[in-house]
Amino acid sequence: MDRLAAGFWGAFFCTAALMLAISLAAFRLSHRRVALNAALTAVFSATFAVAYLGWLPLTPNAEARVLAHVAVVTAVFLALMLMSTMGMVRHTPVARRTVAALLGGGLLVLAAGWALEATQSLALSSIAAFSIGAAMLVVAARGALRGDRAGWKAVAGIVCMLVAIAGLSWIALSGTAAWPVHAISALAGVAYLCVIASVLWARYSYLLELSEVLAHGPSYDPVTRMRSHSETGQMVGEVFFRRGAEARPIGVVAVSLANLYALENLHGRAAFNHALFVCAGRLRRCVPQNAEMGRLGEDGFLLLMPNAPDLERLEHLARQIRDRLSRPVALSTSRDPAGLEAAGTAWVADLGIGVLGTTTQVRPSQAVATARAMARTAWSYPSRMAFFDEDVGQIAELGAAIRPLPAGAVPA
Amino acid sequence: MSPLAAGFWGAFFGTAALMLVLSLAAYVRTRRHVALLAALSAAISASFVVAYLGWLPMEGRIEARVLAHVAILAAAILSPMLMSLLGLLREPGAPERVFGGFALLALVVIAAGWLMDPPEALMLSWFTAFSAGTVMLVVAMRSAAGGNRFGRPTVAGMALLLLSLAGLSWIALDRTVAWQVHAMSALAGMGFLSVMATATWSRYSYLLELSEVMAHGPSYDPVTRMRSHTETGQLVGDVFLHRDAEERPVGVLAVCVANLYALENLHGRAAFNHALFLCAGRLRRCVPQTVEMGRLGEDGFLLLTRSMDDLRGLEQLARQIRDGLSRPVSLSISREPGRMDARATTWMADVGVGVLATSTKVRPAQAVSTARAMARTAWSYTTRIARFDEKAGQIAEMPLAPPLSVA
Repeated sequence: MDRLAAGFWGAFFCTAALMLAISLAAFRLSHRRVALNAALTAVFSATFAVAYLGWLPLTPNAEARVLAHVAVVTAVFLALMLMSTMGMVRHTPVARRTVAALLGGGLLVLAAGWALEATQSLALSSIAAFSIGAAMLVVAARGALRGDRAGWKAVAGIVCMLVAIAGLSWIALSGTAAWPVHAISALAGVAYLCVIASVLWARYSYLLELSEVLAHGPSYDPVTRMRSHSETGQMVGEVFFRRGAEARPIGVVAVSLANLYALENLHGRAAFNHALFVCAGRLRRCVPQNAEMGRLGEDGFLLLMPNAPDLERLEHLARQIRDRLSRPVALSTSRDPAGLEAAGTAWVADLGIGVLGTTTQVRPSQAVATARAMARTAWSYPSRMAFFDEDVGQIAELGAAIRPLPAGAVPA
Repeated sequence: MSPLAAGFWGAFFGTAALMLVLSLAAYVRTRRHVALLAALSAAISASFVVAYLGWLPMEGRIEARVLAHVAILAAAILSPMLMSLLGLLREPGAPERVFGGFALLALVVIAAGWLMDPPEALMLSWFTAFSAGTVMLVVAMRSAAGGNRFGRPTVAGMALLLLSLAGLSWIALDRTVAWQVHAMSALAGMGFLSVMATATWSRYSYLLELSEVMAHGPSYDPVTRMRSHTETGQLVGDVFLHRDAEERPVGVLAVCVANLYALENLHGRAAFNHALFLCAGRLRRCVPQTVEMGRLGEDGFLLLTRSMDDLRGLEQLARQIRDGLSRPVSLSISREPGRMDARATTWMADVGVGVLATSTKVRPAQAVSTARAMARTAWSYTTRIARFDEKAGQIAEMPLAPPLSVA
């Protein structure tokens, strides 16, 4: 093969491989059907190209037979895939009839191919594949003229697919090595994959957005992506009043941010939300898996550690949270989307942490209120952590003598 | 060059071109500078490869000079860019220090190179680029060992960069190397570009998410992405109580969905949100730009317009909205995100539209509540549209109109 041709086919297979890899990654995350659709499109297109470029180790006769099958199967599958991508496979009688006709036609062509010679059957299959593509083009163009949103994209995708199929068929039948033919078919293949990927991406991101919208409601806080205040109350109730009603030790950690309210008044709601979002993200990263977490009021978070360990482990956790959350953040103060990256103001969360080791025998509302009050008391301590000192019988500073606050955490 | 080697380089350039196109498209759409960074890295890598594969129309000494410059510049731009993208340069002052250090290094090496013969200058550039890359690799490894989230990707990216640089240098020295060397350097280059693209993408999506989070607040409704109920009140005030206090006509359209409440009770909050989201999307698509929109209460939308064109076509608009909103939808009723399209129920919005042409003299609260009451009255009409009949002096059903073209 010519060097330039090889380069163009390299680009095509690289696109297919990238699409496959990305869709497999998406498949692992969520929305399996769309991701699977993308992966199958990539695999089928790549197989088609491999077969038609003559890279399979077969004798010419057998190769023609294989190609005839590959052509029909991929054409039918890609057509079905395109239909489902464009939302044409609804459960209506027309759609069902179309799908049945596609499958039946494919089988018929394959059966007819076995009655012919190998090269003739290949030509027949290529013509069948091409006409399926042309039919899809007509359908898509009609949809686009009627004002379908994805219509023109579909038309572009099918045109690219037809160009690629025509080029590949020419290469397979005549064995031409002229690089412009290879280049055009490879580029058309790349463009086809890109169009399909963009349509599927639009669908995928729509589904992501939708699943986020579905989660909204009284039990979900859209800014922190945590439980909202009212749902935190539910969670506390569940943890305290579990079925097996023995008294269990439980750790309650309340985090309260002192300067959020001032931030809102200085820079507005957007900066407030930004700060809350960053704090929630940091908190999520440093809290162990078994801790339950939620928002507490407007300016705080509540953590519950079931099967609570001793006070030392809680203290360790509180110190981690304090160090993590009191790192400075650059908050953007403009609502203009382009200004998000330009840091507007540097802000350091001024937080207090209340650590309370208690048991499920205590009334939950009392435990939470105590922890919160302790967190607010902790604002005035140098270590920013408060606990209930049982020896003295009052709230005291936690870890005062052990380690001072890191230098960067002192608010200006 | 063998066809296999050419294929691999084709794959590399395909990756770079895709990255360039995607990042430029992203930049055009949202104007985030991160996207430009990705485009820049793709372009720099591609031009580096072009130079090293010997595709520039120059020979011998001049080529060596050019390659010396390209090598040190690419290394000095790409390494700090990778580190900053992966968030290793978060401390204040760190980006300036690292970028400045690399710029200084590049300048010194280039200046020194001009004092030497071209081949020696090329050697010096290679040596510096490699040692700088190795130092960065060690730094990244140490930070990965220290538990930095971005440490491992940086290590991988830097290692791939060095590997690709080594392979390309070999190719530049000996134009007849085996195809395996070509394949390895092309694959390493693609890996490096992928790491860059992933890092840029995570940063970009974070910024998108952040801008959405920042919009939240009392004046933004996260489900419909419209004005919330309270903000709609502000909007009404703005439209009605304008400064230049002349009397002007205002068109008020209220849309109320009757069966949202029943949907929530049957299938829960998720289905309710889904229905509301779809209705808002359809409404947004069939309403012209000049019409202001917002949510009205839990189950409705309010549309206001002052443009004369819209006022004339107010009843037409009401019909369009009715036809657009009352098409059936398939709602998911399972909360599990991966199984969005698994369990579904078909639902049709039961809309009522109230059309009120009024003027700024009327009290805004009265106009809005009248329109809303009309919309609720319209639930019992066959056409689902209610208007104020001035002759009879009462709310009446809008007469049936000749059928419209399909919206």
